[in-house]
Amino acid sequence: MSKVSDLLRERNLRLDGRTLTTHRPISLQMDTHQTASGSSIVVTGTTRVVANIYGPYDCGLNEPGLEVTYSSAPFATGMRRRPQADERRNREVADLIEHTFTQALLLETFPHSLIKLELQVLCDSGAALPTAINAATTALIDAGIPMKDMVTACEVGLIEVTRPDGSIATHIAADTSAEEERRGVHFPIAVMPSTGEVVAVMLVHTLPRSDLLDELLEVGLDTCKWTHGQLVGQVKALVGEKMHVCGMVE
Amino acid sequence: MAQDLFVPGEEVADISDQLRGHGITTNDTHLVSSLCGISSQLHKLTFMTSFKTWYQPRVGDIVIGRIVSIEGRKWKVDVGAPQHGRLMISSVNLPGGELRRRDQTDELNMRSFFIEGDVLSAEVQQTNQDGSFTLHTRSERYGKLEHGYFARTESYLVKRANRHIHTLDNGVGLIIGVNGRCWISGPRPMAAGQGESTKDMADAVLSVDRLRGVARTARAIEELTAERKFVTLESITARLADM
Repeated sequence: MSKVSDLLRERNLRLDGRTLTTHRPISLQMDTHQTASGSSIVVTGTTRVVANIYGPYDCGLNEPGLEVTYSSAPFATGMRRRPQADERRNREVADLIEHTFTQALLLETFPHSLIKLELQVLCDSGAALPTAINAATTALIDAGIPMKDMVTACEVGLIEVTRPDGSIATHIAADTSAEEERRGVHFPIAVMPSTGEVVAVMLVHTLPRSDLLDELLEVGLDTCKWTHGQLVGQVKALVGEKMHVCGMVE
Repeated sequence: MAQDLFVPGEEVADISDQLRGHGITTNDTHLVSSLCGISSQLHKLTFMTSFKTWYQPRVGDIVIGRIVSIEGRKWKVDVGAPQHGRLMISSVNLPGGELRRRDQTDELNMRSFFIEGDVLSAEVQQTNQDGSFTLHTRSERYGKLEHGYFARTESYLVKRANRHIHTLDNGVGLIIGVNGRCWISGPRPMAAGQGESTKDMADAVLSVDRLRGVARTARAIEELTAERKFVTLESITARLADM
């Protein structure tokens, strides 16, 4: 603990050498899976999530639907895990993502149809859920499924350090690593960037003070804005090249 | 001149006296893109074109699909669209002439024409606002497909053209469905047709050259699809010449 506090106090650095506001680099690939309607891989630092879209196809439903499955590869974290507990957690996360994208997608374009979204976390070194949401957005864009806005997500967290006099200082860190997630509160947040509307939040662990929520939200919105810029730039480059090769753009 | 690319949520144009077309939603002041692609303008209509899209059936499209189920007086056909197509018993050629009355015996015999899993070529007869559509096979050109190779590409890689049924130089028959499914047949360019002709084809022994032709054509389509290039008669022929 003393090391964390020293680093933060003296050099304003976190354990992995980032400042409190530095985001890990984001990179993405699109159209990674031949047989899916749309697919992507998004990498945040070393966290890696694969997203595949299938459909829209006829499912005999009256209402249009989105079905999300979220799973984590057995080798995604270094830790031993209990499969049953994972299954429950994954279902919960999948429901959150489903709820997020039901708000953003223009599903009424496809009456009676179902869109399947499959997310798999290949490596989780922090911020797996927001990376999954970003991967889902990218895959949906790849599939050409209409949506109101490009949903973008990030994660912020609290780092608590003990001062030399024994009191506890709380810092807000953008884009938490796995290490920081294990230590305390973290807060995945998804927004629609053009309106700033928050579409999903999840608070893991308990906040020490309730007024921290506003600060967390503020840092979260800023980080999402940065993430959105990164995604837009890379998506445009990839799609532009593809359309250029095909002769759709001069 | 490079055209501007838009991502979902980006403002494309001012809302004043503009009509919103495909891939466009609105906020209070602007037309907003809902796809990633380029925007185009046709008089007052602004619309988006994205690289990938799902298959949207249009009247007259030649499609290749698979029978999913038999319900009442119709077959449900999966052609890769958001909804299954309907093939009414009144829209197929029954044995014994076109103008025959469809009676209950025909309904009971539906399974003798098409059963679940059969592959067939058909034409889109009618499309509806809600995305549902009907098919017909009332022509010699359409019908059940047998003794050939089913190759899959993507609908956005197939352009609508005057002709979709071809005979290649190597004698191989090829149907490029607008829905992104292709049929490659050895002996005859057309759909297999009904009745005896199907049986004839089953009995016909294909020469090794013909079989090679079928395999190469399938490979050409696979390659073009993997490279995300348009699948047309020209591109396939060019690819075959390179092999």
